[in-house]
Amino acid sequence: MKTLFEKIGGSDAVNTAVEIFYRKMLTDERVNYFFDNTDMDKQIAKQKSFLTMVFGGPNNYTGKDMREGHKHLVARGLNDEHVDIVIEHLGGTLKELGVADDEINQVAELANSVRDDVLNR
Amino acid sequence: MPSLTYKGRTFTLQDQQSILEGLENQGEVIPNSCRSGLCQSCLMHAVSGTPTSISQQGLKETLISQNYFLACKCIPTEDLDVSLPSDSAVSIQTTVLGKELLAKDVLCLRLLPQETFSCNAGQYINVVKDDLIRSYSVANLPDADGYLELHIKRLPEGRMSNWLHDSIAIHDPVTIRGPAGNCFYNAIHDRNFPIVLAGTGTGLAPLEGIVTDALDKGHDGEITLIHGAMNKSGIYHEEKLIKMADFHHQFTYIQSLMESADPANSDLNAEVRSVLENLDLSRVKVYLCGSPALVNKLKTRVFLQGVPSYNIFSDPFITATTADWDVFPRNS
Ligand SMILES: Cc1cc2nc3c(=O)[nH]c(=O)nc-3n(C[C@H](O)[C@H](O)[C@H](O)COP(=O)(O)OP(=O)(O)OC[C@H]3O[C@@H](n4cnc5c(N)ncnc54)[C@H](O)[C@@H]3O)c2cc1C
Ligand code: FES
Repeated sequence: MKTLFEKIGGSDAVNTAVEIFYRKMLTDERVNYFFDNTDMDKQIAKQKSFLTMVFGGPNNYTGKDMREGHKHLVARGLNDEHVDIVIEHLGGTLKELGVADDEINQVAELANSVRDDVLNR
Repeated sequence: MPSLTYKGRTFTLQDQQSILEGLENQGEVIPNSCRSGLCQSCLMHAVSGTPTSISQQGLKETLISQNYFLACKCIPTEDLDVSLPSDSAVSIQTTVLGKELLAKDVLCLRLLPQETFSCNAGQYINVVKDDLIRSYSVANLPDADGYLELHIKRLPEGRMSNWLHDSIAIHDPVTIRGPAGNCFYNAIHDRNFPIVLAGTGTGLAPLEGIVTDALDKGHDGEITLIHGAMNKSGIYHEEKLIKMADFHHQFTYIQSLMESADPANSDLNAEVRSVLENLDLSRVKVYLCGSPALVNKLKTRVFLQGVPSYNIFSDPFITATTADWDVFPRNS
């Protein structure tokens, strides 16, 4: 069976998705303060690997990296609510790209599966 | 934890410690400046073992294939034996061809390479003075001109900038490395896309280089250059740029002075926004150089205004003490 990553068009589609997704995150006042003082190019690179992972594409995701990468954010108050917002914008992004609802749900499930790593629990 | 060998001595790195930090902890002096993978002054060579791919981002192909890497970005995953690069392997000699002041604190330095050296206008080279290595952007077309033009701002107590301003003279030798960076004119499909360039202070150096390159290659899309400064004393090459704009109908030169009495003319962010409003955002290429805080902010704003991230090119001029800009504020 094809992964969503292949279905939506591989890494080119991920590049498009990241552009939409990151704009949503940066304009959402519930989460955008986490991005103050971050380098945009590095963020975009990180989000590409994240989206590739949740779309089922080739990735070298490790729970340890995810934990390390978010430790300082958890210290600044990152919690379940923020993870929900990420999943919400992920869904919105995929909708804009014309992805069907049950596939969006699959992505949300995958994203949900890393929740504990992200929140260092 | 992987072990690290340097000058024949082997020790173990701490968890998540970069090679730069590890060696500094051992009392070694390793050249560095930005500490965030942007300036390449911490270049090192793995004599045995393979450095991580993250630590090779932005390096030239020839350096990557020979296992060179950036010490500040390398948290090794295997044992490595490392050394500082020898000058003969990665550096070239130049001599000072000319030196003149462009503004109160801005020096124009022309360097004549003693061997073949090819580089795009807007890329940067590293000047090497013993353990001190600092990056400077190329403001001219070195391949056509045969020399490199750099614009160097004197920083209070800045070690390299004061040395270049005060101590070196015409015909003196200067060692350089590079080039590096992807802030340069690049037209693959056509030459009629719009270009917007904005920068502060000596951020003008790469931008002026890019404009010169684009015009030289017959770019016919609109080109707008916005040079920001605190006040008129920070502006340089005004006459040259006005002349260029007179001569090339597609090129517009704008100054943005923070202390200007005219509010319409004192906000670089607003200036960039209003220039972009009249352009095709899906095609425009944006170049941003100079103060890291400003470049960082502008980059996000330009992206949010609708310019795709892959069309935004930037060189934040990170100095040794602004290196922290990239780290999350730990307590805000
Ligand atoms: C990609 C890139 C391109 C660049 N291009 C240019 C360019 O075209 N033109 C240009 O002028 N610059 C450019 N820069 C910046 C340049 O590389 C140097 O960082 C800059 O010239 C300062 O170097 P310095 O050795 O003179 O100062 P440093 O000695 O490194 O000091 C930097 C500043 O920090 C202060 N400082 C240093 N140490 C301390 C300390 N311990 N405590 C408190 N303060 C301290 C100094 O007073 C000084 O103001 C570029 C940087 C990058 C990364
Ligand atoms: S790239 Fe390592 S110190 Fe700048």
